[in-house]
Amino acid sequence: MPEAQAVQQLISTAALAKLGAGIAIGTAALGGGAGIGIVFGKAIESAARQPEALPLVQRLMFIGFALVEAQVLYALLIAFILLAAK
Amino acid sequence: MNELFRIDQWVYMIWTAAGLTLLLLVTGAWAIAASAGGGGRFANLVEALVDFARENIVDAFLGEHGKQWFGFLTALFFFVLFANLLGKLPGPVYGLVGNRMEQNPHFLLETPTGNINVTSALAVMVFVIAQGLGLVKMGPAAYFKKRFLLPAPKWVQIPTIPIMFLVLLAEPFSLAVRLFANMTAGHKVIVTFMVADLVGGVWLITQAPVWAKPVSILPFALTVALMGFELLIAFIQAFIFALLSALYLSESLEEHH
Repeated sequence: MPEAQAVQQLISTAALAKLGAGIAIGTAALGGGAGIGIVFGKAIESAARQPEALPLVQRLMFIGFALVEAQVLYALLIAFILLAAK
Repeated sequence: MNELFRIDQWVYMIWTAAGLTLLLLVTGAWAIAASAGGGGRFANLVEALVDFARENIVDAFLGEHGKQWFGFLTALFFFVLFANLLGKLPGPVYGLVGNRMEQNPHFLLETPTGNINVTSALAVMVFVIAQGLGLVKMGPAAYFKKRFLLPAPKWVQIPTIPIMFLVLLAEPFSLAVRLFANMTAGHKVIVTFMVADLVGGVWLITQAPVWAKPVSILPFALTVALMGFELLIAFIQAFIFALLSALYLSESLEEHH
């Protein structure tokens, strides 16, 4: 079995973890922004087509917004976990 | 053991939220009964909120079982709402720094639902109630068939059993993490704009240059706007938590596949 050699790290683990946290939340914000834009855009469109449906559309819009936002926040949770790494 | 069961600030906040829920709903019910459907601003307020909860959470998902579960779901909605809102009040925050209780200069009370333990407890409670109810009502065989088997041929069903198990586990996990992450993220953003090093208002005020003090009004104004947004998020997240709990309950309560 070959001897283990000392590994010289150029970038420390903590620094890589912080970089990963940045990438995680940055990428998640892309999808989240697109998703929220779609949800609200469709809601505005359908409310403009048929103003009587506004209460129903508004309720569904809030539900959709919260569920899309949740996805972004799962990635934020991973970013928090990564930020705490040593 | 002492470390685990210490009664610290979060426990007091949970008790406060539960006490507020009890106080509001009981006083509201008394006011509604005393005014005999007439008026009174407080009675109308409580009635409007409870009607909102009933119409959107209970009636949307639980048809005939609505009467049984209305109390539980409305109490859940109000508890999560008050727990979310308690974190927006100003106050001294005593938290752990290292091993000592010290005052963290956050200027906001800690949100009880901003603790993953609290939201996990709520999510596990909803999960156990919904799945236990499904197991008892339908029997283990029908429950397994409903939850773990896709409507597909057998050679697809067997390999997807672990996947369906993960889907089942994702329900309470997403419930807990959604609420926790929303509350913690909002809290941290506000704290960042108050005390952080480059962008914080409190830090900017203590800086030497002459233009530092007028410029420091910008983070404070942004914090006000963020507070308003956080209030909206508190309402929405409480509503979503109760709504999804009602959805998971209704999946166990419906009779036919």
